[in-house]
Amino acid sequence: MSTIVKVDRVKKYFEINKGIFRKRVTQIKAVDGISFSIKKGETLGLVGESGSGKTTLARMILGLIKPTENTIYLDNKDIFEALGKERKEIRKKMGIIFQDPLASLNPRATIKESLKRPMLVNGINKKDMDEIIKDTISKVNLREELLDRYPHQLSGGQQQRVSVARAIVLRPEFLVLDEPTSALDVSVQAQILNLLLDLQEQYNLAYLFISHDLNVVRFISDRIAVMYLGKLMEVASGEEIFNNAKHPYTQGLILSSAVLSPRDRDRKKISFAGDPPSLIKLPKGCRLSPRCPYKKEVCVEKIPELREILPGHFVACHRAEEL
Amino acid sequence: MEKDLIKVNNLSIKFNTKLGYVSAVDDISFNIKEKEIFALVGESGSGKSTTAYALMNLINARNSIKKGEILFKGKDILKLNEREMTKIRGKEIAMIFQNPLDSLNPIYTAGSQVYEAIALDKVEKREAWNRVINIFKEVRLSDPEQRIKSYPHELSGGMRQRVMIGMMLSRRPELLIADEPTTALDVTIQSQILDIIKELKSKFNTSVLVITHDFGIVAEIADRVGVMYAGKILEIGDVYQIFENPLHPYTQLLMKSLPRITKKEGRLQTIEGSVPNLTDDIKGCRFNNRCPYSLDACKGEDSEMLEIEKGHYVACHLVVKEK
Amino acid sequence: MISQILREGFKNKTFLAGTIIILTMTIIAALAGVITNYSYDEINISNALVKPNLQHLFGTDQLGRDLFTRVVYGARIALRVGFIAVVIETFIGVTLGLLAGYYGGRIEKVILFITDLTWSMPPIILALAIVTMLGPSINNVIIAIAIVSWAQFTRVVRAKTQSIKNLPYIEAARAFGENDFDIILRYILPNIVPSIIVISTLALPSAIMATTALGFLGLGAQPPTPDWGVILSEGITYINKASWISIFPGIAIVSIVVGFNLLGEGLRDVLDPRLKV
Repeated sequence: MSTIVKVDRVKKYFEINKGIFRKRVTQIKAVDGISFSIKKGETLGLVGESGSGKTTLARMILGLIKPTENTIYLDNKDIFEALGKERKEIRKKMGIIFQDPLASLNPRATIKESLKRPMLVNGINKKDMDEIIKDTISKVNLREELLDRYPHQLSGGQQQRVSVARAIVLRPEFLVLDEPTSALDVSVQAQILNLLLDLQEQYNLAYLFISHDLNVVRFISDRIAVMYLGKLMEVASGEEIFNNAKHPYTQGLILSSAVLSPRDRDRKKISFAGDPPSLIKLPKGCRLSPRCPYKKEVCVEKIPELREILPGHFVACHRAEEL
Repeated sequence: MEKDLIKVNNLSIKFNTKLGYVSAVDDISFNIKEKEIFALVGESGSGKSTTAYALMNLINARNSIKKGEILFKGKDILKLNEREMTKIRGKEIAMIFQNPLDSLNPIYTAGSQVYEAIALDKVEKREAWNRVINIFKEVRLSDPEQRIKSYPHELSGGMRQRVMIGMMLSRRPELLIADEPTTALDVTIQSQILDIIKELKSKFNTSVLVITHDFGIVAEIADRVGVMYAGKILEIGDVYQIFENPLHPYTQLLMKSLPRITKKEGRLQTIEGSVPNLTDDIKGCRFNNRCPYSLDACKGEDSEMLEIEKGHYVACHLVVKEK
Repeated sequence: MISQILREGFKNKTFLAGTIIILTMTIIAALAGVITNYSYDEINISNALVKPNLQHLFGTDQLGRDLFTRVVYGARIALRVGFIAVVIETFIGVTLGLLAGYYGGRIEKVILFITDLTWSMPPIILALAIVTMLGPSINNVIIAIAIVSWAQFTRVVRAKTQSIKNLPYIEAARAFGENDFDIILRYILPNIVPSIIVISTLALPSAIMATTALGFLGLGAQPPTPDWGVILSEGITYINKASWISIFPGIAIVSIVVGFNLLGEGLRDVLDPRLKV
């Protein structure tokens, strides 16, 4: 399988300036040197808590903000260097679905108008549009009469289907899914997840699936990447992450995530001391070190590199082999 | 067997809206025993929050019709006047909400807000402040002497929710109502908050009513569960009965729609159709239009709640027939 | 939006009262030539200062002109000047507000500085200065009013733009390649239109008041133009002998101002309940 997205050592620092001379006061390292790639037709789950930088990363992959250092490739093309027609081609291959279904749609545009805009902007032949819209709307299991409605007239599940339709209307190869089911009810969540899987099979779509719900991520992902304070802690296949996690943070996250059976409620948890440190005052060594129950001297001193400890299983922890 | 702390008998709540009467809660009965965590679980629009507000007697009398009774230690809450209710609210029944930032006053320190709550009981000043610090320790806020001086915006989401819980606990209520207490929080913080709620029960014998749409939370902390759908309680049982032997078709489908598998093992169960319009005068079981096992009887009359096994109640014609 | 106004507006008494007043005045102004047989500048000294009677409903002025005719034609001027001024100030204010809110940074700083500067000056004095500089005429009055009152639009539009521009649907549009111009025009502006309509309606009475004030001070419309301010100022001389010359244009001003205010308040309740301060 060939690679569709390649994130190459990407960094994004936000500067905080103050005073009349706009002096740089401090820097927020939202994303600090992250690399991974996603193959065609593959789902990479990205988990991390608030402040981990996953949304910043997603926005860079979509080309909405520029990395401070290094870059991202789509189909081997640097998305920040492409211009004109090439830029358009890259854009057509990507789409996004957000968490809040209502806020994802222009309240003053009908569903049809919302679906038409991406095609107009990207030079799809006007004659084909109605056909494509019809086809797309049936792919996401919506009835055609909804096309003339406004977003607020639809249910949450329907709104999210429209968002999916808008994302696939240009027949992309890769979608960023930013917590696409977090705002939905359980039964609707199941519908949307199934729909995403159907579309993936049909179009060989690659997904970057961002979520804080580990059960959902486990269900939908082939591989999972765990992020903490701007760095990747662990990347491995879904089975490896859930059965053989090596990083203390991943282990803690899995154990504290909600169980779906009351039999598991008395499992032993790993508790991290305190709250995550602020992004302004990051620790010198491993970012987890102030909270990690297994920290050693080396963890406080040196930032661990992401290394492959088993085939396809990457961990950024000095003590990965021992734990 | 423990005594009932609260007993709800045939509670119905209708709201007068522009579109006519909406029956948000329809003839529900349940009880919460002493020292127990009871979860009302349901999807949006199921009436679970309305029920919680009714228990606090916070439903506006002007545009609603309430029927039935809510017996709290034998007294009917719905018959109390505002003055009598104020004595119970906060002191005997307390409530925490989903968004902790909105629930705290931004211009007072966290400590002084908890202090105010304690001072309501005419406690001497120094004693009251000592209690504040103790409470902060109980809800596991690190560095309580510092934290009492912090303003809400200086605290993280998890800390704020802990302050809210602390404030509610300060007067040692007998019943704590938690309305989606962890929805806005990260996984690790959620697990800490749930631990604190569990501890409340064991340490202070507080009963807890948890209102949630998240089965993970239910599996994690509930002793008994009521499943709500479109204003009705369809099934009540202890948490193991609900998760391992659900009887109502709705509960069964919901359990199968939870992402407990991976995509390699298949798709998730979905529930076709949508929730009935609550303004319509609904005849029969409210789930019958979506139920795969719907019988003729289901369209006629609503099924009574029947005890199928010890402590396990269900309102379903099919279950009754099979029995 | 129009259907929304029609549906909910007629349940709203404020809106209904405002609509009736403004509609009546607009119809009278439009049909001025049909309603009255007199012309507004026909002098007839022998008929001067006649009390209101059946021939002259509002009486005549010091030059024997029919006051009713003059007040009715005056409504035309008031409405025309008001509308043009408000259209100009809306355009300036909304454009600057969109730019400031969308781009932020240095552009926003400059725009906000100018806005605050305009905002901080007493409008009528600023307008006076502008008209004095440009010379007294109706067109210059329009320019002056527009210059002094666009700032309120900028403030509201900037705030609204800021709250909308980071919503997911804008991000999604940017992701599939919409340019800034289309995002502002197609995704942001339509969502602020209700507020703009409300503010515009509420800006109309102040514009009309300013026109008459400038006319009254002799800096706006010039005699014999039947501007309400001009009529009022002429009437002042005869206030003891012929108070009707001042009273009727006064009533006209009050009703148009009250009418638009009611209309604006009503529209606000219907279109944009959150705008209420």
